[in-house]
Amino acid sequence: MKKFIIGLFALAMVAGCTGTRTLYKKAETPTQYAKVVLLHHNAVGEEVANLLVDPTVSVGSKDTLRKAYRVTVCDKTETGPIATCRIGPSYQLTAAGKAYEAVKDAETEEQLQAALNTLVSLLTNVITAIKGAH
Amino acid sequence: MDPVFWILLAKALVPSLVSLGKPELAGVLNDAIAAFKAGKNIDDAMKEFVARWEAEGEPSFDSIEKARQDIQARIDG
Repeated sequence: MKKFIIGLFALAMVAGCTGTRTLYKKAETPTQYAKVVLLHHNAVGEEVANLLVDPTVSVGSKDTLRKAYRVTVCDKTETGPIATCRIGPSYQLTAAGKAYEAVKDAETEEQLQAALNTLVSLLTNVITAIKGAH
Repeated sequence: MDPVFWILLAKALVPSLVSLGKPELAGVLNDAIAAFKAGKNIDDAMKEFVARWEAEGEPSFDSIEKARQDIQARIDG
């Protein structure tokens, strides 16, 4: 459980604000931590979608944002549009969360932790891309 | 102090910097405002999730995934 807290604390620090911290504090179980990260991923995704239609954002920044978001939802084998991706890191975290919810053993918790670590790292990259977008 | 105050203050400074012959500083300030707004938007969305969690209980993985698919559909240019 400590590993969850360390990784998520780092992510909350990157995001920084009260709503984000409050939501992370609501998580008490491994699956709740997974859900909070996935909700955070959706909040960040919404902002990426908004920035992509913002006329003041440069084409280069939009490309960076799209690429950073893409690796959070698409697997390397998925080469089509982002809308069609279904096996990338965020989906793997969902699958690991569901598996842990159903079984709750050490093996599924380890899988959940690994999936969580991957998405947290990629999500941090998207947040950094948003901060640099102009 | 309300973050909106700082955004308004920064916005008010931009034309002054341009007229003072410091367009590069105005550009830096504009970028900072944009980054701040983006961070605030994300935080507002997180506050909404907190309110919904408290009102309706813990969300399901399926509902989160459905929302993600809707976002993905919006992101392709």
